[in-house]
Amino acid sequence: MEREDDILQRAIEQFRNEQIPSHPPQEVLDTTLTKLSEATCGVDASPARQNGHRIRLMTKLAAAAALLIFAGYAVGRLSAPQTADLDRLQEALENSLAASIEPAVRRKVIEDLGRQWESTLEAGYLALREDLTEQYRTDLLQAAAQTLAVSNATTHRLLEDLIASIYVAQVQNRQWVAAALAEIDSTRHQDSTQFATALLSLAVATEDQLERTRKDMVNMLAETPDRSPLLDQHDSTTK
Amino acid sequence: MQVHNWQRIAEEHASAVWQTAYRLLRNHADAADCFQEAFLAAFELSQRQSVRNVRALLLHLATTRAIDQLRRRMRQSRHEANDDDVEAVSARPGPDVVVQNLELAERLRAAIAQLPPQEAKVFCLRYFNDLSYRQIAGELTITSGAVGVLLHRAKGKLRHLLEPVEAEETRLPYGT
Repeated sequence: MEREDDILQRAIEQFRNEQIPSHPPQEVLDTTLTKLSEATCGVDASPARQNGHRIRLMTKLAAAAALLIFAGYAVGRLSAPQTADLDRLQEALENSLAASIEPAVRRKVIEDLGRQWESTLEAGYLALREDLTEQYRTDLLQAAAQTLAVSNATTHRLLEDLIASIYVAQVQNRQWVAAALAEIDSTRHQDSTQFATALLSLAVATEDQLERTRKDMVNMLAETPDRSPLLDQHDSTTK
Repeated sequence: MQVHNWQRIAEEHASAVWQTAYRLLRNHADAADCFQEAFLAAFELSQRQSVRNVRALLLHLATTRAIDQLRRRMRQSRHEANDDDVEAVSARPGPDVVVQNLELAERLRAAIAQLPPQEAKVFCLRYFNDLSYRQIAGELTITSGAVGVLLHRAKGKLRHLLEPVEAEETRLPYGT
């Protein structure tokens, strides 16, 4: 049970420790946000539209500020003692306001747009770099893992072939040894049989030769004029 | 009906939802689909009923869709040739360790796909999203006791599914 717990725990830990991207890719997030916007209010919430909205808002604010200043000036002028040429002053003030506010608004809008595009490009560049690094690392590891797997399979196959060869060689060796032992035994049996036969023949031949020699000795002694005591003893023994 | 700022919610919970989907699927395109579906489903759900815990709801929806996708993938892989779409990520350990770890994680992934959906959801929410029993119970509209029972069953089945391969690993090589 401990071992089972161990493998489940190990699997869970491995699963949790797997390196995964911490954030979704920007395009996925953008698509999701767009779809959510469409679902929420049915309007397109693309960045360009948002920028346009901001520009319009800032323009409205600038116009309102200009109107407020102009109204303040007008009220001040009307409440102040009358001077010579109100129309000319009003015209000069309008021109002055237009000249001072419009470039500032334009510059502000351009700066905002520039900052926004810069941050977007920077985020895109970072995401792209991260993706490419990740892809490169993934490809390397995948190649290494595949190479290792192929190498393992090849090594396994070669080892199996080697084991099979050793086994076949061992069987052949055993068969050869068994055949050699059988042949040695057969030869030994034949040799012992031949040896026994030869011994028997030799014994028979020796006995015949002994008998013949004994007869020759008897004949020779019989033909001898002086019988030796040995011959008499032989005769009495024979009788 | 509650009014949610879904732009803010999406940006706030994007990482958790993405990690949930990607961890289970290990595939960029599938995780992206799962990510979008989870947010849109949460939005549609919020239009019909009040949502108490948006994060838990998003994790629940992402887990459900990821498990569904995982089960579809496993069913397909039984019929099709296995072309081993291995997406290794971290290059820190050696290839052999990576292969072993990937195999272990893949086996757990396959085992999760074989669990009943409710048990798989409870297991993933508990161990991969760190939701409490109460949060899981709230999301799945079951009791905390039922969460414990489902979790116990899921762990038992996962052990059973993982155990034979482990036993095979410990055998002597080449059948000697």
